Amino acid sequence: MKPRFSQTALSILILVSIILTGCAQGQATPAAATQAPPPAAVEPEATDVPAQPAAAPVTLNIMHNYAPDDPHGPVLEQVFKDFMAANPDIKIEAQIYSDLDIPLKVETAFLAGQEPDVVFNNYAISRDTWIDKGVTLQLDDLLKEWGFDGKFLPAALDSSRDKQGRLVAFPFEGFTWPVWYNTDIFEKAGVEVPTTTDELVEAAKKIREAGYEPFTVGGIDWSGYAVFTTIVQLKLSDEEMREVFGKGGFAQNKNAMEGIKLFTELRDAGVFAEHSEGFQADAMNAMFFSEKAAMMQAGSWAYGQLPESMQDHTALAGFPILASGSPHEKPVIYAGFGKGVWVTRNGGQKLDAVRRFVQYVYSAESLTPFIVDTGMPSPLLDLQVDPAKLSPFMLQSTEYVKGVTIVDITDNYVPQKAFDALYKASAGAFIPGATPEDIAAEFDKIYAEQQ
Amino acid sequence: MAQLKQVNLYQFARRARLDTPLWAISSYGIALLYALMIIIPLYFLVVSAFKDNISIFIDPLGLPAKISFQNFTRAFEQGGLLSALTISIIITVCAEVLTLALAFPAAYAVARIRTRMAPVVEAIFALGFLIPALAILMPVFLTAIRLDLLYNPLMLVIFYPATLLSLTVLLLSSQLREVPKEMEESAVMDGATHLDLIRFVFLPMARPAVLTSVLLNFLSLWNEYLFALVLLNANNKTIQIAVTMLKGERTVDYGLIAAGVIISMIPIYLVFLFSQEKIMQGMFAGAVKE
Amino acid sequence: MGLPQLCPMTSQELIKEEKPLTSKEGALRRSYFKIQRARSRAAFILLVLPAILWFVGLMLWPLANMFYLSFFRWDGLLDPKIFVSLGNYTRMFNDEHFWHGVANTAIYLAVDMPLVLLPGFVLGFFLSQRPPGSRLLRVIFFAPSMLSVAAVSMMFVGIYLPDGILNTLLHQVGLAQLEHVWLADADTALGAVIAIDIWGSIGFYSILFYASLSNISQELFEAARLDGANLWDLVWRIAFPLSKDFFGVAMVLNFVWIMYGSAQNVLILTKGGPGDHSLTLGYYLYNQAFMGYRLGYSQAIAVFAFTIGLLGILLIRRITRRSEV
Repeated sequence: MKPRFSQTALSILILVSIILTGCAQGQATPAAATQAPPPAAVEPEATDVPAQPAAAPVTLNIMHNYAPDDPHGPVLEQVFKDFMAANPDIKIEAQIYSDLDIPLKVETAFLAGQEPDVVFNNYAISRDTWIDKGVTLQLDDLLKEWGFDGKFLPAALDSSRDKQGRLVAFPFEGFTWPVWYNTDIFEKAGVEVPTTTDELVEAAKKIREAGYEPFTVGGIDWSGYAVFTTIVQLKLSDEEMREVFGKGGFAQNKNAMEGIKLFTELRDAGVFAEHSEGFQADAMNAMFFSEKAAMMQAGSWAYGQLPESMQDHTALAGFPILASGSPHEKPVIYAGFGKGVWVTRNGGQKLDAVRRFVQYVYSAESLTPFIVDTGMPSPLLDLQVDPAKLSPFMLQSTEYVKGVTIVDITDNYVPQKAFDALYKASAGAFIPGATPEDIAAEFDKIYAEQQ
Repeated sequence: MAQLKQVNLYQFARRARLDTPLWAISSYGIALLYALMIIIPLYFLVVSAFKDNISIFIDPLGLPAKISFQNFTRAFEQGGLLSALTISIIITVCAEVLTLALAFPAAYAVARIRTRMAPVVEAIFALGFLIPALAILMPVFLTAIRLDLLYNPLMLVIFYPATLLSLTVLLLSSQLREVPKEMEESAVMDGATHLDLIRFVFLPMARPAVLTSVLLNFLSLWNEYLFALVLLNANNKTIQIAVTMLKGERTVDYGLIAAGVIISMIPIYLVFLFSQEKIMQGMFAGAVKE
Repeated sequence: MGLPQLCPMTSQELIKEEKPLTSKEGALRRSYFKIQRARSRAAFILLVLPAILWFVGLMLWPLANMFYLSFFRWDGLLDPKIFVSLGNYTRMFNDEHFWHGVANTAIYLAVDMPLVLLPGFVLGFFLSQRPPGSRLLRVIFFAPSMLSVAAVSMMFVGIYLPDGILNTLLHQVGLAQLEHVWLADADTALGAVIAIDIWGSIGFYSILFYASLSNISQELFEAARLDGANLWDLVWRIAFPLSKDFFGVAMVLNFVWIMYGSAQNVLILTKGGPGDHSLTLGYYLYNQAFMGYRLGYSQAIAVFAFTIGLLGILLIRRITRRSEV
């Protein structure tokens, strides 16, 4: 047996060197994120500051949820590329997460000092406490400093203010949330696109007879929650909605209970596609885009996903309302400016780079592809796109809003930590056999424990 | 007990008293059925990686019309699989070495040094089998934050060995106990310290157990999911995380997923290809005491 | 000669010839060993300390922390911890999601363990008889165990899709009425997740049992055959009783895997399934901690799962351990 000295020594050497390099590697990213050089002087009166290279290269860490399979994904990728080409001293590193994961990721990373500099985030699912805790910056001053005063749609700005009126984010992605109707299937079934709930039940029956599924929805997740709340809101005025979804008390609220009852009736009448209670949104999309289902409620963020072959027979409209006694005039949709551009504490240390990025994002070259390719409503007052540039389907997406009533969305009023629990509660509602009382009790439980 | 060689069908039938073809057929039948149940999904996976999405579902088990590597290139580009592979390799190798560096001295001490503390220490390590990783996921996450190592692969390199110590110490110590006393005593007579003993007597003698531990640990490290999910972020994810992120929120591109899964499997199969026989022998020589 | 040397020695030098001892040398040897023993204790501690520190600090300490946190209400990392003593536990026992998780986990155990361990044992026995082709079969059987949970789950995504391979195959063999939306149907969601587990585990345990059973002497089986035993008898009347202890080890392994490892499958595939139909305790634990903003509560669930796990292990070992060997 030969001595194993060399082997042991070698392995110890390898161990030490690997750990050392591992240490170096592991700390590369946080170092870049937290020790960025101080920004060049930010002039308080700057309006259109020309791009001036900073003293040293900066890395901007940007978190967003526009994955490659999202129509916005490639557009944002291109924005990043073009921005980096025009600003060679700034490098963008992107982190992509599902938007429900983003608030938790931001908070966790904040605790470790590693939060991204800029976040494309949904206000509704964020925390009101972020500004107070220093996680993100209040943007009112920066709005003026960076030349955005008077440029945003007032409605857009309003939806980005917290309860104390502070601006939490620059509004970015507006959305409308219609029901998509496959008119080919309706023709085959011999029915019209429904505008009342009775017509909806009728249509569902005929569509099934024609061999298709009526209304596909992802019962498990946020898409199911949206359909549930839409139907409940068929009986609620906006104020009542804010009351009940803000503070709870479904079982005691007569209209809310009637709304839930309406939901169970529609469910039991076979309006929803079979096994909807087990679907997630991707299954819903798959069903509609393969023309197996006649209807789905999907937001404008998904316009870019509609297969070209379907664009000539997909109609956008609101969710059918009650034939009589409805608090709303026309079929309803949600609409708003949910997603905005947030600047975090880390981003606050790189304000010059962040400013240049944000200004670029809101420039015409950046926003136009978003509007044209994905049908995103523009958050800016004066950036309107020539209708001739839009495809017929995208054109329809800007026109149909005239025929609907926009109802306020519950997301802005429910307890912000409760989304996972709320989705579970609405998921339970889709299961055949769940009674209105059960469903109401499940929701009320969520509010009870917020105390 | 004589080592059994592989036998031919006649010998097998005779030995197992399979006079009736029924037994032969049924026992082989079950085995072959199960083998088929394993092969078909794996075949489906491999074949799908080379097809595009539509043909996957039209003709799931058919061979691809033309072999395309598009899914693989897309997996690398969109999924960041190259950096994920690198990170997985680095974490795995570092954690492996650290585990051995910690476990071997301890196993030696427990197996060869007669003190009253030895059974106590053994019992402590045995506790490790009772502690499920899932239960301590949150506390370890909090520890990472406190140590300022969140989203840092170093945390995994530090943490994983703790989970592997129980099994590694067990395997190594049971093998080390087999070393004959005489070798040790004569070395001691010549003035060897414990360190010398480890180096020149026990390390070589324990090679089968070390190899087994390395392979088993490699499997655990490479395949670990939950802690990597929680302790790392999108910038430095491991290969397992990267593969699951190939499933989009809105769509399911199965060809892409299949390519990603195959990419994640290649290192494992390479490692095991080179050591197949050694695992089978070593794994059970040490651990199974009848 | 009695002093420790620091220069490396070859193993050949270590094995010297034994010379007969005089009484003086004997005394020297005894005192030498006494010193060695004291030095041994010090060496023991030194050798064992790093591993012990690692283990205690990164396994036992977090475990204690788990118990500690279960007494607090903690709604988010940025929020303060509020002491609620047994509040989380009372919440847990009144939580219908929790009970669904318990029921599903119980079903999981009741279905998975026999369907994995018994066929695994039979196949292991089969392999241990070294039939022709067994080397190839061993490789095939062990193959799924080398895949990660993530990889296997992602592989099954394509199998379980509504137009995926399972439904297509059923259609092709004329069993179209058995087609389901496997992961979305309340009746099949949990079963689909369990099936993934069974798929890979049978192979793993067959290899485990193969190794264990290979140690049983063939003469035993020969003798039994001479007494007229058939294959079935060989497996269950002879091999099984002899392997009872090892079977217990396998049961413990499988039990622990199901309790805790299955959470990953649920997380990747169904997130609890339609409603709670595929919600297991392990998944609920993860969900409450990392998706539900109930960090303290999740630790209470963890404590419960840990306790049940411990009891289960002790019970299994109690039943199967026969220390007569």
